[in-house]
Amino acid sequence: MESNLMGKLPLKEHIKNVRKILKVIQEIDSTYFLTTCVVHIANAMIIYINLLLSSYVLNALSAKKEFMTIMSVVLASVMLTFMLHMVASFIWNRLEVRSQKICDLYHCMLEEKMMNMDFSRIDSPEVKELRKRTEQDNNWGAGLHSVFWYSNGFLYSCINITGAIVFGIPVLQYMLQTRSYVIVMILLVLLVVAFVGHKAGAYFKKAEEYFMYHIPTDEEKKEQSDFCWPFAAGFEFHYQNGKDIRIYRSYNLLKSWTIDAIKRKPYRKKTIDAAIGASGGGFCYQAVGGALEGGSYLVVGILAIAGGISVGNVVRLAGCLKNLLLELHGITSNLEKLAIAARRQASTLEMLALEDEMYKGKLPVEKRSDNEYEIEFRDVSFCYPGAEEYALRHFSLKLKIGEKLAIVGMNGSGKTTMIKLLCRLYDPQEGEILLNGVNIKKFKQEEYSRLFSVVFQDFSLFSLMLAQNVAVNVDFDEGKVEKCLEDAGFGERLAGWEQGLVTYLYKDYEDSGVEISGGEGQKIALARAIYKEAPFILLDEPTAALDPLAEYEIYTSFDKIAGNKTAIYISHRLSSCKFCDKIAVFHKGQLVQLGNHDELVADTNGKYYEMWEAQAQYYRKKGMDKAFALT
Amino acid sequence: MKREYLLQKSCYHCRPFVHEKNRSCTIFLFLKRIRYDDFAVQNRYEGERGRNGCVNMEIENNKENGKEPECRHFSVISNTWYFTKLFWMYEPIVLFLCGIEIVLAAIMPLIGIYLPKLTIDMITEGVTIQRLMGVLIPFTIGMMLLYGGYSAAEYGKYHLYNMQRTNFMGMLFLKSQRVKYAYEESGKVKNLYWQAQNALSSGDWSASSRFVSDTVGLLRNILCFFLYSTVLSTLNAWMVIALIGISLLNYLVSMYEIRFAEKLRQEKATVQKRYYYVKSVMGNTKAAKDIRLFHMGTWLKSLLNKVIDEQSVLHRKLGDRRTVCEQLTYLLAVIRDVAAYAFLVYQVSEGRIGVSDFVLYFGAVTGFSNFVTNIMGNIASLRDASNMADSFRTYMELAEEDEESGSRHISELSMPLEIEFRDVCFSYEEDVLFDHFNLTIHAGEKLAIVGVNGAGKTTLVKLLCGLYEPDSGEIRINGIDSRSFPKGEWYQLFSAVFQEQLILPFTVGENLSMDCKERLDEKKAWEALEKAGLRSVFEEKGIKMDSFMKKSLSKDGVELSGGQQQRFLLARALYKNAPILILDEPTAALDPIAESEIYDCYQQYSDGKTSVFISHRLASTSFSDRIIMLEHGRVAESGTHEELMQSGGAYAKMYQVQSNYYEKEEGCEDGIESDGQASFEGAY
Repeated sequence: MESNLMGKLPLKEHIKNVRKILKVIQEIDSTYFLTTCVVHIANAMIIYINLLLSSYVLNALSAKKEFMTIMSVVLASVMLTFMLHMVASFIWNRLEVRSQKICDLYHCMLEEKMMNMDFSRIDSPEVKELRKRTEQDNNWGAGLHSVFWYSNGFLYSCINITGAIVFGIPVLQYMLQTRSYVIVMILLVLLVVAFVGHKAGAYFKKAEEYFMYHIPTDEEKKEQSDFCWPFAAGFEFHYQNGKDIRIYRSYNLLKSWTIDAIKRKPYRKKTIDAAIGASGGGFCYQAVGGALEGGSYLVVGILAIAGGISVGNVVRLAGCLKNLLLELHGITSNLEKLAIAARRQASTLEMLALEDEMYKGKLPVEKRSDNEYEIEFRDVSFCYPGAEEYALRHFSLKLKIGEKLAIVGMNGSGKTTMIKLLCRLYDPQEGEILLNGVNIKKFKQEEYSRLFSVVFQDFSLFSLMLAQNVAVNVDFDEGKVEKCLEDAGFGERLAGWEQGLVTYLYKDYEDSGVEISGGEGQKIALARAIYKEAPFILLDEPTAALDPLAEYEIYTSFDKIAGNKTAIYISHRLSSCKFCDKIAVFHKGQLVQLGNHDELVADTNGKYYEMWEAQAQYYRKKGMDKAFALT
Repeated sequence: MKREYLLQKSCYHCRPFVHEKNRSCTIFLFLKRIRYDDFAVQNRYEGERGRNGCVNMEIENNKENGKEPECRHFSVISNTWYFTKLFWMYEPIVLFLCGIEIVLAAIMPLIGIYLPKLTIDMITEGVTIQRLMGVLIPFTIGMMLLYGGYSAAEYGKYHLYNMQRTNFMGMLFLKSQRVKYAYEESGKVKNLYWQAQNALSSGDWSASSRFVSDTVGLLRNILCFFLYSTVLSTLNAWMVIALIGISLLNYLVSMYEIRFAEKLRQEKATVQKRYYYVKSVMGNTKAAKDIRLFHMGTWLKSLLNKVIDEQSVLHRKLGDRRTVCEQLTYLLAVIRDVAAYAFLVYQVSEGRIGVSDFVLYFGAVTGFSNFVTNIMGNIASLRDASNMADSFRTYMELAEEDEESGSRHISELSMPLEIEFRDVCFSYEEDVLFDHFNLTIHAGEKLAIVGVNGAGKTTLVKLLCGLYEPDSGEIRINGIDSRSFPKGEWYQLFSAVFQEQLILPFTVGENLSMDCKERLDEKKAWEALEKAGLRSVFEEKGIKMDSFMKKSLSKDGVELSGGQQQRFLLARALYKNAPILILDEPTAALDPIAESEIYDCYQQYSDGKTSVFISHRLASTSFSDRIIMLEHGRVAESGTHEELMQSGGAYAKMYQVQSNYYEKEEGCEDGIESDGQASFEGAY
C-alpha cells in the first residue's frame, strides 16, 4: 500500500490543494500574505540597492571620483537600506506571531472537529481511516508551517526575479548585441545542468520519500520495526510493566525489538538508503546552484571582454543574472514543496469538511418541573458502524418516571450500548426511542442531552480547575459546586485543600495541581453529574476499581442523590440491584429478563440466576459457615 | 530561536542561493520539530495516563528523599564530548560527515566572495575569452563539487543521526529495565526518566540532534571567523581588530536577546504545555462521550482561545525583543559598512589595493560579524541542549541492579517454599508503610491478602518479589535470607500476574515465554495455554505461536477479550512454572461468570505451590487456606475465613458489606438455598 503522498497527481489537483489550504489561511487571517509581500519587497530592494551601490562605487573608483562624492552616495544608500531593514524586521517579527497563531488555530481545528462531530462517527471506519491518513500525511513536515514557508519563499522569489530583470536588462541587451555563440552555448549548458540536476535530485529524493511516506506492509513492519519510541514514550508500555519484565526475565526480548532491531540489516538498509537519497538529492540541488553562480560570472565576464562592460557593471549584472537564475531555480523548488505541503493538508481539510450524518431535529424539549418524562425503546436494533454483529437486537423497554432500573449482563451484552442510544450518541438502525411518545431524533440534540446526567465507566476528568470540572464551564456557582461535591462524598478531601474549589486537578495544566486517586476521581465525576441536575441519572459501572467499603459508600450516597429521579445503573456486581425497582438482564444484545430480584432469581433457568450463582456461591458458602459458627 | 526567516539576513553582498539553501535547511530542520513536540506531549497523555480516560491514578509524591539519585549537572563541553563518543561508538559515519560539512561550509563563503574578484581581475587584465573560460569553467565545476559536497554531507547525516536518536531512546528505555524497579516508581527518578525521554523525543530540538547540528555550526563559524580574519589581516590588522570590536557589540546584542528568551522559557513551556493539553483533550476520543453529554465544547473552546492568546502575547514579547535586537544589529552594520566603504575607497583611491580587492575585502567585512552572531546562537542552543541532556546522561549513568552476585543458589531450595517476612521495615518517600512487619507464609499455603485501597497489599507483593528492598529486616525463603541469592535467580522464583496487564505487541510465543522466539519451547507453550483453557480458542481462531498480538505489527493481530487476556496471563505464569504464584487483583473488570471461571483456573494451578492472592472481591478468599487482613502496613487479622468472621473485626465488616445481598436471599428463598448448596458442593 502506498501512501497518498507518493503517487503522481495531475497538476490540476495540486493547484486545487494549494488553493484550498490558502483559502483556509485567508479565512483565519485575510491580510497575512499581503503584508508579507511588503517584507519581501523591502528585502529585495535591499539586495538591489546594495548591488547598485557596489557597482556605483567601483565605477566611481575607476573614474577616480572625489572621495567625499563617493561617500555621500554610500551614506545615503546605507541609510536607506537601514530604514528598509527596520521596517522589514518590525513587520516580519509581528508577522511571525500572526502565522504562529494561524497555525495554532488551524492545528486545533481537527481536534475541534473531533469534539463536535456526531459521536457515532468518531469510531466509524470512515473517520478512523481519514484520521489515520491525516496522521500519516503529517508524519513528517511541519503541518501548516511549511505551507507558510514555501508560499513566502515563492513570493520572495517572484519579487526578487522582478528586481533581477529590472536591474539586469542591460545584460540581455549586451547578449543580443554580441550574439556570441559561446554565450548561447554556456546558457544551454547551464540549462542542461539545471535540468539534469533537477531530475537526478528527484531520483535520489525518491529513496528518501519512500523512507518517509511509504506505509509498510505487515511483512515489512515485522522486519523493519523497532519499538524504541513506543516503549520509551509509554505508548505500548506502562512503566509499571517493568515488574513483569524483571520477574519474567524479559530484558532480552525487549532488547531484540528495540536496539537490536535497529542494528538488523533490513532496518539499517532502509535508513541508509534514505540517507543516501537525501545526500544525493542535496548534492544535485546545490551543485546546480554552484553551476548557476559560476555560470553567471562567466557569461558577464565574456560580455565584458567582448563588449567592454565596466568593472562596476560586471558586479551588478553578474549579481542580477545570478539572482535571476537562482530564483528561477528557487521558484520551481518552492512550488514543488508547496504542492507537497498542501497535499499533506488535503486529508485534514477533507476531515474538516465532513458533514454530520445524524438527523438534526428542531423540536425543543419541554422543560417540566415535575420531571414527567417517559422513555420508551420500541423494537430497537443497533449495530456499531463497521461491526458485523448487532449490539442490540429487537430491544424494547419502557422507563417510568422515578423508576430505578438496574441493568446486568455479561461483558459485551449491550448494556453500555443501550445507554449510548438513550443519550443519542448513536441512532438505532431499526426501531425508535421515544420521549413522551415522540421520537428522540425530532428533538434538538443539544436540549435533549440536557436530560441526562451520566457517569460512564471510563469517565474523564480534566487537569483543570476542580470547580470547572464540576460545573463544566469557565464560570461556576460556588455554593452549588461545593454542595454537589459534598453530596458526592468529596467534602472531606475538599476541606483539606488550601485553594479549595479553584485547585487544579493533576499537573498537566498547572504545575501546582493536585493528584487525586481513582476513587476521588469517581466522586468528582459523580458531583459533576449531580451539578447538571438532569431528570435522568445513568451510572455505567462506576465502581469497578474500588474496594468494597468505597463501593458501598458510593452506592449509598447514590441512592440518596438519585432521589425521585429516574435512574439506571449498570453493574457487574449484582448486589447493586438491591436499590432498584426493576432489573433488566441483557444477553447477546437482547433483553432476556425483566423483573425484580426475587422474580428473576426464582427462574433457575434464566441468565440472571446463572450470574447470581456465579457470584453468590462464594458468599453463600461463607454465609453457611457463619450460620454454623453462630449456632 | 533559530526561526528567523533567512530573508531577514539577505545581506549586503548578495548570495541569495546560500540563503535559499540555508532557508531550506532551517526549514527542513524545523520541519520535524513541531510534529514531534506535538507527538511527545500528546503521547504522554495517552501513554502515562493509563486506562481510565484522562485520569492519572497515581499518587505523585515529590517529597525529598536522600536515597535517590539527583539529576547531575555537566558542562556543555563535557556533554558534547559525551554525545560525540556515543556517535563514535554507534554511527561514526555521522562524525565523518560532520567533519566534511564543517570544512566545506567554512570554505564556501570565501569562494562566494572570491569569484567576483577573480572575474574582475581577469577583465581588468584584459584576458582573452578562452583564458577566462579556461579559468572560470574549472572554477565553476569546483564550486559545484564544493556546494554539492557540502549539501550531501549535511543532508546525508540527517537520517543517520536520527536513527541513532531512536537508538538512544531504546537505550534509555532498556536502562529503565535494568535499574532498580523502585526507581521506576519513585517520583524523582521517574521524573528524570521523563525529562530524559523528552530530551530525545522533541525531534530536531532534541538534545542529540542539536549536539550534532549546533556543534557543526559552531565549529564552522569559528573556522570561518579565523579564515576571514586571516584574509582581512593581509590588508590591515587594525581593521580586524575594529571588526572584532564591532563583533563584541554584536555579541552583547545577541546576549540581550538570548537572555530574554531564557527568562521567558519557563513561561513559554508552561503555556505550550497548556496549549497541547487542551488540544489533546478536545480531540481525545475517550473523553468524547463526556464532552458531548456535558456540553463541554464551549468550556474547552474558551480555554483554548485563552491559551492561544496567551501564547500570542508571549510570542509577541519575544518578537518585539528580537526586532529591537535586529535593529541594533543593523545599526552596527551601518557603522561597519560606512567605515568599511570609507576605508576601502580610501585605500583604492590611494592606489594601495586594486578594484577587485575592494570587492573581496568588502565581502569579507560584511560577512565577518554574521559569524559572531551565529557563534552566539550556536552556543546558546548548545547550552540549552546540554541542560536537556543532563537528565539523559544522569539516567544512563545510574547504577544497574546487580543480578549476578550471591552466595546461595535457588537450586538448593526444596519445594514447596516457605516465605518469611522478619522484622521488615519499609518506607516509601517518607511514608512508613511497614514497620517491623512479620509474616510467615507456609510451604504450599494459599494465602489471600485483603484490605482497603492503600493498605499496602501491592507493596507487600513488590517486597516479596524483590522489586522493592526492605529498609531493614529480612525476607527469607526456607530460612535463607533473600539477599544471599543473586537477584536474577530470586526473580525466577515467582510467577506473577500484576494489575497492569502487559501484553506486548509481539508474537504469541514471545508473549508466553517473555523471551526471544528462538528460545520458545512450543510444546510447553501449548500445554500452558491448554491448562489456562485457551488452547481450543486459539486453535479455533487459527492463532499460532508466531501470530502477532495487538495491531502494531499486523492488521489481523490477536485481540483478546478481558477474560481471555486474564487466562493468557495465567498461561504465561504457567509457562514459567515458578514455585511461587502471585496474583494481584486479576478480576476487577470481568463479568460474574468470567470471574468465576478465572477463579477456578487459578485454584487448579496453585496446587502444590505457595501462592499469594490479592483481591478486592472477598469471594476469592473462598479457596484460600488463610486470609490476612492488611491495615496500615500490619497484619490486622489473620486466620481462616471462619475464624475472622467469628472475631468480628474489620474483615467481617468488609465481608458483610459485600455479601449482604447475597446472604439475605438465603433466608427467604429456600429453594435457592439448596441449589446454592449444590453448586457450592459442585465447586469443591
